[in-house]
Amino acid sequence: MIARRIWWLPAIALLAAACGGGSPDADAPTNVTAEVSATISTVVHVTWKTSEASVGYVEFGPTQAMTMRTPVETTPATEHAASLLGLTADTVIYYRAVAVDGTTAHPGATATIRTGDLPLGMPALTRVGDGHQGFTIVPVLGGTTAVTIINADGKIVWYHTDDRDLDFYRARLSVDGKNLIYNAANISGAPSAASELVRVALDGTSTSSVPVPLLAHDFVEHADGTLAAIVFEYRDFQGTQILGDKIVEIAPDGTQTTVWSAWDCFDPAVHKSDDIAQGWTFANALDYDATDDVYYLGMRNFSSITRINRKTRACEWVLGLSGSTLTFAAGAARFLHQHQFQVRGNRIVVMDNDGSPGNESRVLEYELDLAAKTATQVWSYVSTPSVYTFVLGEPIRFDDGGTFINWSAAGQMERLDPTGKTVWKLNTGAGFVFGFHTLADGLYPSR
Amino acid sequence: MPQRRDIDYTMMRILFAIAPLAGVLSTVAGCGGSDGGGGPIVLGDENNYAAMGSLAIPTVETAPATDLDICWTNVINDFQCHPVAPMADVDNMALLRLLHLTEPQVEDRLATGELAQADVNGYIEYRTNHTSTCAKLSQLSFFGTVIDVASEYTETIDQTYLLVFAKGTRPGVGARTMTFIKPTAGVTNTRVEAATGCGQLTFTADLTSLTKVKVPAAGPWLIDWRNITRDGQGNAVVPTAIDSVLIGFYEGMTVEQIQSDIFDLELNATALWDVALSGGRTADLATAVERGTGAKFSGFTRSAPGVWMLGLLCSTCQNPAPVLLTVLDTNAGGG
Repeated sequence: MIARRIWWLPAIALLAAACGGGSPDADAPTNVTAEVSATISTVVHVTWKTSEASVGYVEFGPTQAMTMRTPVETTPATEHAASLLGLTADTVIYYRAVAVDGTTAHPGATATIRTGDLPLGMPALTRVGDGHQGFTIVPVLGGTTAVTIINADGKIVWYHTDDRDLDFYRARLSVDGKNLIYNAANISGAPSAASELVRVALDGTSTSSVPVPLLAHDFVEHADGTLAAIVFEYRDFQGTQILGDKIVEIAPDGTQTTVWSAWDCFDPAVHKSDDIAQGWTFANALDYDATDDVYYLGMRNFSSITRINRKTRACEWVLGLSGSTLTFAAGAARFLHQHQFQVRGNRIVVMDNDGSPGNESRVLEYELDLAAKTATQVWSYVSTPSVYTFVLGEPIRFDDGGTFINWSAAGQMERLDPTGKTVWKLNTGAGFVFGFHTLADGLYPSR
Repeated sequence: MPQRRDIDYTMMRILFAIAPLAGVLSTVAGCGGSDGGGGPIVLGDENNYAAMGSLAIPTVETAPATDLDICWTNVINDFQCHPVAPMADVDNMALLRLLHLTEPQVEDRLATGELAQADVNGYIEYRTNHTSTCAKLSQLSFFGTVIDVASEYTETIDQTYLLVFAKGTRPGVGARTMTFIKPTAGVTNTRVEAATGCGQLTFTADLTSLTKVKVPAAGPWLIDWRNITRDGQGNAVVPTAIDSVLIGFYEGMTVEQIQSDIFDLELNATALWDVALSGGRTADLATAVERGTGAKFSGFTRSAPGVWMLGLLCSTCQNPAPVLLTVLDTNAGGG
C-alpha cells in the first residue's frame, strides 16, 4: 500500500481561518482560470496569478465547503498552476485559489466548474457499506481495459485507457507522486514482446513508457525510482523450451538488469510445475522489502512463495507446494495457485485461489517460524457469499488488523474490520474484473 | 467446466465478455426518441418508457458427472419469435456456471441486467460447425481446455448451469435461446434438447404514458440525456454504457400499435437512423445516419403521417433493451 497523507492540511486550515472576510484582498489570486483536462475528464487544471511572488494552493470539492486541497506550492512565483484530483465525473466542483504570504492565507473568489463524463465502456460499480476510506488504484479488465482510481464511494475519479492489444494487471502511484504506472502485458497464452511499463501523469499531461519484453503480472517501484518487474524467461529443458520467470530491474536511466532468475533457485528436473505447458514457474506476484533488501515472489504453478535475497539471488525460504523449505504445521490449510500475498513481520496473508474445497477462493494467513521452518495457519476468510477468484486476487492487512481483499476475477473488492466483519464491498457487473490494486490515502504526494 | 487447475488466464477473455447474455432482450433494441427546442433538447425520466421483462427458461434434468448429448435441433425461433435456422444460425453454444443463484434468480437477474461478475464462476463454449445441431458436453472448452465432466458437472445445491445458444461468437451477445441443465442424482437422461426461444421472454412496454418530447422540425437537434436516471425497467442508468442513439419513423402506425408489437420495433420501422457515440450525454441528431442507405438524417418532415421515436441504446449491456425509448412530438415548431 502506498500511504499518503495530506500533511499540510492542519497548517493550511489555520492559515485559511486567519484570512477572514472584508475588503478586496490585493494579495489574493487574480486571473484564475479552470478547465477540465482534455485527456482525463475528472481532472481540472487551475491557473492563477499573484501580484507578488508567493506560494499557494487550491481549495476544492463538490460542495461549497471545499474540503479538498492541492499541496502548497514549494517555490514562490507570480504565475501558478495546480491540478485538482480525486473528482467524480459530471460533477459541479467549487474551487478557489489561495495565496499564502508567510502565515497569512489570501483566498480568491470561489468559482465552479463541471467535470466531464467518463468515457464509454467504464464499468458501473455497486458499493455497499462505508467502512473504507481513500483511493484504490486498480486496472479494470474485461468489457473495457483501463487503469482507474476509485474513491471510497465506489466512483471512478481517474482513468486511462489505450488501444494496445494488451491487458493491464497492476497499477500503482509512482514514488514521486506525480504519475500512475501500470504494466501493459499479456499473460493469457504467449507473453508479448511488445509489453511495456507505462507511466501516465496524474494530471493527464503526459504519457511515456519503457519497453520491457515478456512482462508478466506484477512490478514494484523502489524508493529511488527503480522499477522491478516479473518477466517471462524461456530456457531449454531436455530439448524443449520452457517458460520460467526472472526479475528485471529498470533503473531510472533506463538500464535493464536481470537480478534474479527462477533457475537461480529451482531446477525443472527437480521442482515440478503443475502446468508446465502454461509456464514452469508462472510467477504472478512480486513484493519488495527495502529494509531487508529482499523480494518476495509468488509462483502460481509451484503454488509457492519465496523470499529472494536481492544481492545474493538466493531463495532464503520457500513456502508452498513445490520447492518448499518450510513445512505447514499440522492442520494448516494449503494454498493452491495463489496470487498476491503480503508479508508482515513473521506473518503472511495469501490469496488462495484454488485450495479451498468447492468453487470458492479464500484468504489464508500463516505465522512463520523460520527457526523451526514451519508455517502455522492463524486465520482464513471466505467472502459471504463465497466467490471464486480463478485468477488474480490480492489481500492487504492493515496495521489496525483490518483487511482489504480484492477478489479480482470475481469483480469484487471488500474491506473487513479488525474483527473480520465486512464493512465495505464493491462489485462490478458481469463482464468486468479487477486487476491487482494498490491503496492510497490521497492522490497528492506526502512530503 | 474445465478442471480448476486448468482454468488459466485465457479464461479471463471470455468471462469478461460474458457481459452477459446480452442479446436476450436484444429483441427490443432499436428505437428512438428525443425532445425539442431551440437549445438542447433535454430528456428526462418523464419522457422514458416503462417496461417489464421476465424470462422463463426451461430446465432439463440430466445424469450427473456424465457426458451429455446437447442438441439445438428444435431451436426454430428466438426470444422474439423470429425464425432461426438451427443448423445455420447457431454459431456458439456456451455453458455458464452461476454461483449461489437458483434458476429463478438467474432468470430475474438476466431479465433486469443485474447479474454481477461475482455470480459467475465458470464459462466454457463450443463453436458449432454448421454441419450438425448436436455436440457433446465434453466438447465444450475454454480456449481448448475441455471440461472434466466427472468433477465439474456434478449435482450441487449452490450452482446453476445455463446453456446459451447464440448467433455470432462474441460471448454475451446474440443469444437466441437458453436452457438450464441440472445434474440430478438418480436421473439417467443424457440428452438435452434445447428449447426454442419463443415464449421464454416476456417483455411489455408502455409507450403511451410517457411525456412526448418536443422537437423542432428544422433543428437544431442537440439532445441531452443528463437528467435520465432510470432506464425503462427502472434500473439506474450507466451513462458510460450508452453507445448509440436511434431515431425511428413508423409510417401509418400509432404509438399503441408500436407498443403492442414491441418485439418488432426495428422491423416495423419505415426508416431508422443511428448516431454512434463515444461517450458523453449529448448527441446531435443531425449526425445520424440512415440504416441501409447511409444517408444523413434530414429532419422530421414526412409527407405521410406516422410516429417518430428516439432511443438510447447499449449494445454491450446485460439487458440491451433500450435504456430510453420515447415518442417525439414533431409538431412542436421551434425549440
